[in-house]
Amino acid sequence: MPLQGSRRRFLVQTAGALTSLGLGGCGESLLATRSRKLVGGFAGPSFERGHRLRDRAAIPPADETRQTDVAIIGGGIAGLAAARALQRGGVDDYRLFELEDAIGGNSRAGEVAGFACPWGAHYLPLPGPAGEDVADLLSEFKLRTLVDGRPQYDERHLCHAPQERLYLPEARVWQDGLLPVHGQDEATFAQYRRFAALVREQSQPGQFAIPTSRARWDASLSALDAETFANWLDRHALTASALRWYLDYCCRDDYGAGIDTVSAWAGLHYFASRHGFHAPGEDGEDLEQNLTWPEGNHWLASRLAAPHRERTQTGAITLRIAESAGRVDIDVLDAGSHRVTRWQAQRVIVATPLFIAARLLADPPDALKEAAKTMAYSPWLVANLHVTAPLDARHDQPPLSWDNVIYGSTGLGYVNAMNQSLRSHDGPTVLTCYRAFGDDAEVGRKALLSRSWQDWAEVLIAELAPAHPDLRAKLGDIRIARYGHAMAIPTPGTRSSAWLAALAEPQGRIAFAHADLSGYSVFEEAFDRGLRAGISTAKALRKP
Amino acid sequence: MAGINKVAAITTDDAVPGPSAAEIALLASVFVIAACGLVYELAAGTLASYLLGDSVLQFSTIIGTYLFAMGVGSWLSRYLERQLAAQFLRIELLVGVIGGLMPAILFLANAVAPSPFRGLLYGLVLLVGVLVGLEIPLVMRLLRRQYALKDLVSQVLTFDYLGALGVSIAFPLLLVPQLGLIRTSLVFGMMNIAVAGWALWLFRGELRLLRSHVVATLACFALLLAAFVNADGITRFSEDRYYADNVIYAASSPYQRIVVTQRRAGDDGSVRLWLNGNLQFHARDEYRYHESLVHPLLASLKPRRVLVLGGGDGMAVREILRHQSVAELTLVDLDPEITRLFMAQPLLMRLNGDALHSPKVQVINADAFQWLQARLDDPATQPFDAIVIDFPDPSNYSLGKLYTTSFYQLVEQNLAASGQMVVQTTSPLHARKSYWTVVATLEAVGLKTAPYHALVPSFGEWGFVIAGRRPYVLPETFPDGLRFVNSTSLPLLFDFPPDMARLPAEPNRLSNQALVTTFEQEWGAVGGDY
Repeated sequence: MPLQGSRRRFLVQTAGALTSLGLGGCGESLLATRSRKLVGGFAGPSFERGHRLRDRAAIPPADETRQTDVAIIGGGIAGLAAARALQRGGVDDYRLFELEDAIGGNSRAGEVAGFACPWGAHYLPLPGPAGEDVADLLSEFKLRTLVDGRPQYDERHLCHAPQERLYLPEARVWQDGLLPVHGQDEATFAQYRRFAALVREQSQPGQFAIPTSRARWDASLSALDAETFANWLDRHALTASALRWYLDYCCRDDYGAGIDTVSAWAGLHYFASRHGFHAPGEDGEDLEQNLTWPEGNHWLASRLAAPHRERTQTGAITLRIAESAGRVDIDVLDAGSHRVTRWQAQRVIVATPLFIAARLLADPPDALKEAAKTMAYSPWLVANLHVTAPLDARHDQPPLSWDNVIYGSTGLGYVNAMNQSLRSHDGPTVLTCYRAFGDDAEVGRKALLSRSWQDWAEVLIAELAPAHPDLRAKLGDIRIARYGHAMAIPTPGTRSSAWLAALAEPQGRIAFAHADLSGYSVFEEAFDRGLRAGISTAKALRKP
Repeated sequence: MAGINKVAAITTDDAVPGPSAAEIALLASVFVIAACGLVYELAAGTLASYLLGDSVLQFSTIIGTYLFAMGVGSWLSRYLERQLAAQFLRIELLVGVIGGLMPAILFLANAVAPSPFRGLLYGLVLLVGVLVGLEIPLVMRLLRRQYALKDLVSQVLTFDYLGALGVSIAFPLLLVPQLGLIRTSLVFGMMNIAVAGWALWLFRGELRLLRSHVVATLACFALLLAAFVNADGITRFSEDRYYADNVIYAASSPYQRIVVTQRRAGDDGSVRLWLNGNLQFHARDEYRYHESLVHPLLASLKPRRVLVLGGGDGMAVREILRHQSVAELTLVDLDPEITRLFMAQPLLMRLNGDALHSPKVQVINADAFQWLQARLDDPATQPFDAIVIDFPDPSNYSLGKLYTTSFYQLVEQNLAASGQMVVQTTSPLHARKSYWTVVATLEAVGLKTAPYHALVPSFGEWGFVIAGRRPYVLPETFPDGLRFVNSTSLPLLFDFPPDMARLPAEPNRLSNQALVTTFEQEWGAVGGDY
């Protein structure tokens, strides 16, 4: 049977988990809950600061006016890339305003129990042929060198072995790799091979690339973008539950929503833009390599941000962006002093999600209004669980890996933050758990806001319990971050929309720079959109 | 022990004439019951201190739990009123099976799921204790109907005490060394079943369903016999191999399980060190290993500043200190428990010549990879002339990091311009591909290698690699007092016969750690044969 929908499964499982919590749980989980008190709390960005944009009560008028050539709104990867492009383009007078107290956006990181761990993105795949800009950046950070004309990466920052394992709750075993192979029948393997062939067929030169701005868009891609990935799979009679689960997992991991929600373009782009999809035994099975760090992509973000530190203001809440005769006025509230400054800039780069940009602009263009109305965002939960002692393991099974996923789960498993550590012994660690709610964003957003951190801890423990019955007993500090609108979902019609294409170009003195412009959120897309906005802005400034 | 005797003393009856054959059999069976009860208790205590460490605590809590459970058992015996013979039979079978299998179950449990181990241990001890506590009151009540016991009881007590003495001496000196813990308990389990068999014959007249009792007894005996025959398999699985010797020290540090065994008291040569069940040295032939590890490099370089990574037992340090040129020696070992042990235990200090207390030696407890990295960040540090790497084999991904290009690059950065390193690298005979993978890994970071090997009987044919920016030069003179390495024998060690000859191998990198898989496959294949 084809999956009736990961959406329904997601709802049933999440609702089930939350209901049982709400009712106090059944006997066994209640006993377990009481036997050990959880220690932890919420972490990450405060909802309150972001929501201040919605209700503007009690905001004082601007009491100071300052000038700058370019204002960059947003200190995520796109904003930092824009600053990089401006600096390289000879623009010295720019300012970067970040709402939170730390830069990084979805590449933020922190510490739990003394262990560095991410509050967002965890890794960067090695750049492919179209990824020269990222390759340049990696060379600059000494992660990449050319040896005899071939790129070589610093081993210490490539994902260490063992990299991925999947827990199969029914067989009660871990297998190597994330594609389910253990105990699968020949019919499933045949579907793996057929899907691999279809991906190869789709991978025409120039059609799929990262960054997506380097791929050419045509009618065949528009057709793919018109239907859901699940629909496309149905049409190709790809019904094997293991394959469907795996693809759904991949989409939730990269797009925050599963195969019923994202477009077929997105589902295929995931594979075709990188190393394809390889059935077991096919060449290239082990090609994919990632750069990753204990603190995740914050390693990159902090280095990207370093040259702009003097020109960066954090805790800076942008209230309003208004274009007027020959300049742009930007009102910025300082969260610390609670004073508002009016910045007068030649140009502005809005490196925020598009739905935020629509609220900031005094007079948003139609395309932006359309984007704010149409674009779907996936709520996310990121939890860092301090585990005080190594989890029990069976010697005959794959050991704790970098990425550890539970088959059939609606969660995304966990990443071991100490995988990249150079220590040569097992010990306490932090596990970073991810959960995306894009399949029913409204329900997920409400649950994120209303549920306690203990409830979420129980959901995560329940997800991992089949594989790690000893997890609860070894839990130290639990820190949970919630994101109401973590990233754009490439739903059908998003990528091929006219409004998205329109926003990729500067609108008057305002340029947009965000992964949203690509229809989905990864480092490479944010970096590319930031660079493009920075380059076009620098060019515009040079013109008399 | 004491508990059994107290219970036995409760029931007495009228005087009778001298013992008959049946009464002698009775005495023997009481003796067996008492001995079995004692063996299970000793086995549980020994197991607890092996597997959990802290032997004083483990022994006293196990004995306390066991005695308490026996008390519960003898109290419960009052509620057994009817079908006494059948009840006794059942209890005897249960004691035999559960007590006999207890060490096997616990070893397996410890190997498969260590975290609930403590609960299982004390659960089993309670269960066996209760059953043993039920035994003697029942047997006394049974026999009271047939024999006048006043004299017998005193004889029972005498035999019981003698039996206790016998078993408590035989257990550590004869039983465990000869049979191992698993087989010892199984043998006594079978003796329990034999007592059940005797009772079966004795009460054959009054037992209902005699046939099913016979079947149950035979089945229990067969089960224990099967376990006895397969004890080697269980033992191998549960990494119990070293329990054949006396454990003279056992501790669990956060990093590993440390066990020191000695086959014969007073024989320093019979001492072995085990980390996580893997033999680290056998005092009888460790000189071959440590002379081979140290002298080919040090005699060639005559270094002033030497670094040892791993090797917290101080044996390599002992060899290094034979070289007059060495002025400063830094030892970096992860586990403070190991270095503390080899700096404090008189027996172990005799073995390493108290090398770790030498004024030239600085002992640092740190993770080698992180320590070397941090050292590079400090501009004041000086490079080393020689680095001796004596890590455990790459049997898991954590240890495997110490055998990667990234690690060797870091070691190289800590070497002086003319400095060289030597790496212990598993067996080129049993793990040929693993060995040459390490060589390839060292060469992948631009080092020139000189691979060699030596026969260490405890380990088999063992491999080493010297690596540095310059080619290795064979030394001509060696320190006095060496028993294995000299200028005639050394060149031969650099020759690899065809069965150990070089194989093509990919360098081992952090991102693939192919060595761990290769190592596992090669030693896994060896495990069946050796």
